[in-house]
Amino acid sequence: MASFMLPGRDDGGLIWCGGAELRLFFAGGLAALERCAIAIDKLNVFPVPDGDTGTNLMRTVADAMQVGGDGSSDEIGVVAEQLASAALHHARGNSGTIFAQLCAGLAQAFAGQRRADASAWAGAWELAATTARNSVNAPVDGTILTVARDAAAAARAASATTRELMPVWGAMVAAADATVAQTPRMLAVLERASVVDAGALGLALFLRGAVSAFTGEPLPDPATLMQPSDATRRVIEDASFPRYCTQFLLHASGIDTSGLAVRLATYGDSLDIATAGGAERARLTHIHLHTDDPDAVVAYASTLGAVSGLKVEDMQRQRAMLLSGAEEPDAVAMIAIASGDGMRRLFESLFGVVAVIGRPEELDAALARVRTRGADGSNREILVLANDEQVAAGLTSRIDPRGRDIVVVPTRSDPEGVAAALAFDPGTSAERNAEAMTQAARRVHAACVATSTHLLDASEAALAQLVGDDTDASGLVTMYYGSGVSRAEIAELAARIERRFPGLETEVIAGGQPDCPLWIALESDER
Amino acid sequence: MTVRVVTDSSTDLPRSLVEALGVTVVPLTVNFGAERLRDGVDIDHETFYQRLESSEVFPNTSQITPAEFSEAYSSVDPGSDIVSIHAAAELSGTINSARQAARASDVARRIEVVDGRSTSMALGHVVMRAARLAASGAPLEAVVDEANRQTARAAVWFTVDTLEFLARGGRIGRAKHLLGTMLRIKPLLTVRNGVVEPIAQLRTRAQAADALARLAEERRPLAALSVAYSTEEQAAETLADRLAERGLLPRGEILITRLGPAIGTHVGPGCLSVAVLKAGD
Repeated sequence: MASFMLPGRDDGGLIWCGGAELRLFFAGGLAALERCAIAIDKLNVFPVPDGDTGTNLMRTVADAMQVGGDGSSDEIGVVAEQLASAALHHARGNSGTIFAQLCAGLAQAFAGQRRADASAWAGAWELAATTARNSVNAPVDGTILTVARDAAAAARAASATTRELMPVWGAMVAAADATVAQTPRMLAVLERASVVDAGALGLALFLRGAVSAFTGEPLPDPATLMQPSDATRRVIEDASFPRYCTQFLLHASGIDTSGLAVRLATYGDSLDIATAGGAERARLTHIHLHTDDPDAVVAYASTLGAVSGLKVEDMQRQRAMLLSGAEEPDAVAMIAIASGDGMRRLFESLFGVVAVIGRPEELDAALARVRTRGADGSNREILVLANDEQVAAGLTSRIDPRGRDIVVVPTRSDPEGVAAALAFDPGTSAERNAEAMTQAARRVHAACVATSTHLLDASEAALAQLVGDDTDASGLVTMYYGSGVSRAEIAELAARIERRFPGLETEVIAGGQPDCPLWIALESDER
Repeated sequence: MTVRVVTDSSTDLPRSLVEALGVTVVPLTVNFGAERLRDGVDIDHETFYQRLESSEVFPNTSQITPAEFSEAYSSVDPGSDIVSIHAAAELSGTINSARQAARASDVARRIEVVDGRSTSMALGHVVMRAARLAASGAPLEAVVDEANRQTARAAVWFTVDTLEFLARGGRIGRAKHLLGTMLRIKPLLTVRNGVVEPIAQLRTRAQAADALARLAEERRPLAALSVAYSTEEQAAETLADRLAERGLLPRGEILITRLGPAIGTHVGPGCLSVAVLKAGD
């Protein structure tokens, strides 16, 4: 395929970033955030564990793209200004506000430019990082600010050695990842919570996604990101912070931002004051702070100018939601009763089996181990695979009075138990499962070859009885051989069976069961 | 403004049909080690499966990049809008690339990206419906509506000889719980909301084919039905005959198609699949 036809593409490598490339850069970053927002949210402990860092960042970028990325210009200066203006108007949360200031820095650096080379790109990110840092009332390292600074420095260093943009972008991604990994060492609360900083991670993922739009690398996979732990949960539970995240736009000329910061700081913390670039410069200010009294803040701001775009979020409620969102194990599971190492391993390998016990007497102990489900202490339903007619009868009479959450599946042999377990459906109640599993068990025709002398002849005779004389029979014969029987013998038997019944497949399992030298189980295909 | 339909090569639509419908198919890339081959452009189905069975390296797939979509979109008649229908976001990053390219595209034309929530022929049937409506002169909104409506009516089930290919390709979804089973099983799978999910664990190909037929039957009445295979053409023909005998649709209306390299990489040899569109109300 011909190399793609973006204007910044030169012979072989990208050496200019114009408006089209910047839009694609942002679109890629947005795609990464869309994928990972929820995973980032779960790591959010600083400055406030309200579980929305990823979502705020993602929605800020999405809105910036929606309004500012309409593709009507190919000049980087124009596109950057559109993105910055839209980001400022739609900034959400700490991370979104800081991101909007990164955009403002980029817009200021690219103003009037048609396109940027590697060096101009690095310079713009340096300005972006400084602009963002200056907007925060009390900047802290180990956050998105540090990632921005280090990524910009990496871009500067790389741009000294190449005029191509891809290696410069690659260096930014690598530096961002490295800084994210360091954040727990920079900020004590992160170390206590055993997490990296969520906002820092968000910017690193944005950069990774942005570059992947050009390289075709897969987007970051949220499943591979760090997961919150018990330590994270404790930090989230213990944090104390103002109740409301409050944000709005203040329309007023000639605002003294440092005076405004001093005054607003008396109402709460996490104060970010972001100012517009370009045409809106010095007329528009975005304010973000955490406070217990949003009304008082807005009343004060209204004395300075017009307030618009007010967003107030209850962070205590957000924390409660964050803490309640745990994934639960399936509500129904199986315990199998089986003997012999191979047979036990076989049952353990089947989906849905959570315990294998040797004797029915061990059932209570096993139930005590596996019955509880999740953190709320509720019980899950348990299906017991009896795998023996007498055991099934005994269990059924013993368990019935205890209620419906333990159900015996009356499988009469190990092969029936295997067939039943394969029919297990975790999405269905124990009672309905037991019905379907019992039916599946009865479709298997199993015979125990009880003698180990003349095993081959006896087995063939047993199979002939199961199959009848129908040499066209098709289906599967599974042989589970017990202790004292050799694999070679059973392999020979399998070969004989396939010669006599070409339509039958065979499978041999080393069951090691003590009670039956060889189980032969036939499953016939439906005709 | 006329509407053109764009999709990706995970749809497994036969080439003759694609050409007749005027659909643009953007190829995914299949990689054998360092060798990058565009699905259906640099490698055809037969060669792919020969290599799959003989190659020592397992292939993998690369999503289509935003830049490749930008190019594909610009190759479509500039006088028409585009409806771009793709495999579920959970299965492939391709749709994200399409969205990025659409966002970055110029304003003169509209590009709507539709998530088909599935892949292979479940997506193929949706694309066919959308393309037919587009060819009749319907506007963008109507084609998007049709694609979304048919997406809700589409279903695909498949059985694989081994879960190894799905696992290696990272598309195993909830069927991962079936890995490690010490028995040979023929898992019966579906794609629900973009995630591979196990439906049943069967023991033989015959049982699996029977279960595929039953699942399709449960969806009656059907508007469209197809059987797809990776290497066992005869099994696909037999299954199609059986579906016709059971009266699901006349044999001539049941499409038989071969799974292409993009899907083949993730399901491996011996895969048999049935896809349907439920009839509308």
